[in-house]
Amino acid sequence: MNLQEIIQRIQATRSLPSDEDLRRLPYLKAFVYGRVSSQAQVRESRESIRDIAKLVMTAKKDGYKSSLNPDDVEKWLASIQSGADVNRVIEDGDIIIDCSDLGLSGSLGEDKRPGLAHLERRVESGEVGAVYLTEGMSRLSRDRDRVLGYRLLKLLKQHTCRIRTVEGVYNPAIPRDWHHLAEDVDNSAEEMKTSGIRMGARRWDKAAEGKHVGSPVCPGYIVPIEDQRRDGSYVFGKWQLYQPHQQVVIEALQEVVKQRSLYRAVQALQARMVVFPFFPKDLKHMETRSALRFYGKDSTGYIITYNALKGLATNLRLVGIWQWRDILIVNNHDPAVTVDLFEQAYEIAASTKPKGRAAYAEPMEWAGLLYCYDHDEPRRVSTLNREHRWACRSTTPPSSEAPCLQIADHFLTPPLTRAFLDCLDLTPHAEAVLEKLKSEVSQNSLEESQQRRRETELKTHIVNLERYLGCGDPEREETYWRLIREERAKLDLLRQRPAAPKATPLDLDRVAQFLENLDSEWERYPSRLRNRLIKLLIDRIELRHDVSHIEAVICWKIGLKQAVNIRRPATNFAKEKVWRVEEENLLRMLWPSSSREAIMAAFPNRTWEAIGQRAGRLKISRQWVRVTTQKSRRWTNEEKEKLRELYSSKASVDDIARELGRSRGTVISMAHVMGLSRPKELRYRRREPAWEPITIKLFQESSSLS
Amino acid sequence: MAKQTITRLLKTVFPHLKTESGIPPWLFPERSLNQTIDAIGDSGLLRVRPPLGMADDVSAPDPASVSPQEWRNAIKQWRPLSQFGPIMTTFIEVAEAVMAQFERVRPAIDPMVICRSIAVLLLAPLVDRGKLVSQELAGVLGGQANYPAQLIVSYAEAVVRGDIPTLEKVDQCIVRFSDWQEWASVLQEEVLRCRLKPRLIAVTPPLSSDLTSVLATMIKEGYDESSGDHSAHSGDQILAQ
Repeated sequence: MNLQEIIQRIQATRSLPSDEDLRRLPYLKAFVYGRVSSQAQVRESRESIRDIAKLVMTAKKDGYKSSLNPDDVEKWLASIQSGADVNRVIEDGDIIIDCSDLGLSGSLGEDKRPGLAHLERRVESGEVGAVYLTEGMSRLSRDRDRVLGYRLLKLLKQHTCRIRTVEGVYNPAIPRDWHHLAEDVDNSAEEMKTSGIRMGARRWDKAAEGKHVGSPVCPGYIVPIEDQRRDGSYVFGKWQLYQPHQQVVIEALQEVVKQRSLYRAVQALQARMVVFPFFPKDLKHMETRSALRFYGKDSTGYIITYNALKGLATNLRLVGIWQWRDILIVNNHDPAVTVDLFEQAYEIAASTKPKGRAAYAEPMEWAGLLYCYDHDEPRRVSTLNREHRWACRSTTPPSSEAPCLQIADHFLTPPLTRAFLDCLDLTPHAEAVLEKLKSEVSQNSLEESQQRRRETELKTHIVNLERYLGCGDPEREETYWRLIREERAKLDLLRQRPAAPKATPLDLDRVAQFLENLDSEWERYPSRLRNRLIKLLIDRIELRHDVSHIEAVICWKIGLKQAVNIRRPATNFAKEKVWRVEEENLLRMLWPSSSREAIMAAFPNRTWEAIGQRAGRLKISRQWVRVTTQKSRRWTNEEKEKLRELYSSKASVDDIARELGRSRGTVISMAHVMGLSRPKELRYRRREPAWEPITIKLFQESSSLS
Repeated sequence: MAKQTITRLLKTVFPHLKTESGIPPWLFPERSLNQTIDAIGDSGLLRVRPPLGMADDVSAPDPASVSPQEWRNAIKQWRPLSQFGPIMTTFIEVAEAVMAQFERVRPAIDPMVICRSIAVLLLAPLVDRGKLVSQELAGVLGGQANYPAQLIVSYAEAVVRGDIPTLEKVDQCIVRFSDWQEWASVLQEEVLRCRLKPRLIAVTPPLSSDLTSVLATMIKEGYDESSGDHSAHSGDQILAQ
């Protein structure tokens, strides 16, 4: 090969193919894709089907080799038209014919169109070089959003695949052809949109008559088939009650009313195994039309879940009201449940009241402001609202880490609040607060006048509407009455609003007095308000603690830092009380067979009850021990008098028991029977904290956490 | 001298003094000071004037006739200004701790003696006539007269420690300066006569709409409750006159 030849060869390799080259056929294999939109078209539109056969001939003319002849193809298509169960894909030589999508809408994706999926597979594998279509791109896609159409175009472009129609050959890789095909995709989408609007209008008309328009049928109902169109689709009428399911609906709503809770009702229904039975064969069409198709199923029927029950209890259609978009028709169909039952169930199902433990709990004072500074990074001390306790716990895993601080609220809040109030002086703001109150009073007056004006407007409107009555046209008359009813309802609603409160005097002195006495009246205000005030003024509380002391530094937003030293009395929650592993091992050894005395001696700091509880948790039990049965001694009057005397003295119960020669339990129970009580000073008292403002530290620093 | 001139003078000057000496706004709030000054009155203040170097016929300008800037300029000229802030701040810091010890030291020393000593420790460094007594006290407390705040801390530590000999030495030192002892006694009398316990720390946060809103809500809710009408929403609304 000489140099000239080499240059020509390289030029030939590197030069861009011309448009004609890109449109040239045959190229790889030909894929004849046949699709018409509906089954009716398949049956009736012979022309459309014949066009598919013509495409095969065109492909052969284009140079694709195949032994298929037009007659055979037409026969094959005729058998498909007649509904025969034949293979809808033929591949012969260079030609593939796929008619799997006959009768399927072009708006469907490849997941629902096997023919299209087949085409994509073959193009992607590089086998197909030309797609033969009876029309343009509308055969491939009628996607309203144009997504599918453009995606297919891109796929064909990537594989330089041609599109062959009766008009000519196009290659999406050629910009001009791309524009032409893209225009085709756009036109198809527009056509679908127009068609949708036309169909939507028809659907709207049907819905306005209260007839089924395709939305899921509410449990308890079925839709009767009134007619069948030529394309095989059904014509449905208004909903009808279906007795077996109606009974279940009634039972379900009754359960909701009885339990006053959807959750409990579902539990009760599931316990009784109440389900919606499956539809019989003659109602097979309901399987795909009933809302029950969204329910879970078991072998007995459709299961009622929480969401399903909520849907039932809030569905107006159960009381005969037809609701579709903004169409609302009362008494459209027979009600499945009584209005009374529905109203009661609806109230429960639509209730949005907060649930859970914290629903009605006021926040703890200082909540969200406490930080434990005994860590590398300050850690927020969380509130245990229900237990009125504070705990410093790690928020990051592993969360099994024991809290470094767990303390009852009454150890922290009173000292902090006292220190806070001692320093707070709001009296200079008395005038500003008074101004605020004044402005609120004027705002109320404004709202009152607005309400009066609205009332007047509504009354005038009603009077005007009433003048139109008696025009003779029943439809217009009905409209006027409806409008009048609506306006009256609005007026009633407006009148039901609470009247603006009356005004009473409160002067500057009283405001000043309030601000002056804030500390003494503090407890009277709800903690949410107290917290609001605290959070406005305090940036954070820094806590540093050990077993017996807590140093709390109140950091004011204005820069002041107050230190409060809180002495923390020993509690029963001391860490020493936690059972250690070696103690548990000892208990495992002793508990089954040792005497009570031996066990008590082994654990001198624990009570017998505590040891018993631990043994229970460790799941170890005591072996059978012979119990010497003693005949119970009756209490003599002398013994009772002695007990009365000792029990009210400061002697311990154990000493009294020893003195009387009876057990501790016997002594306590007899004292209870006799109505005796221990001296006041021996009774249990809640441990109170002691605190003092050790120093007042003064800083002018900016707060780091704000 | 016009009636209550000293009272008005102190009320006018004090805020500027606080600002110029760098005392945080929440210390020695004006309201407390005004209450105390009003309670003592001009006559009381004249009784405690000798160490201040005031003449019997005090002639002070009408406070309203002097502009704030002039007051501030005059205060800046006051030599012991730099000591004023630290002395007052230190006093606040130690006051609670010292008072907490009163009961403990009472059998050994009269708490009033402690109060008088602290009063002298506070004022002496700020007036010319107090130089000598300050130096003596510094000697007793092991400090320097140039650092009066440190002297106050040392004295407070002695109280907390229960170091009675040191406290007695300080008292004896003051007794030697009879005019200071007399002044401290008069001051004590006047303070006790007032029967006031002014707040030394009072935080008045800056006014904001949130703050007024919370306070207004608290007033309304409190008012509803106190009027015996617990149906808060239908209760009477407060009308500001």
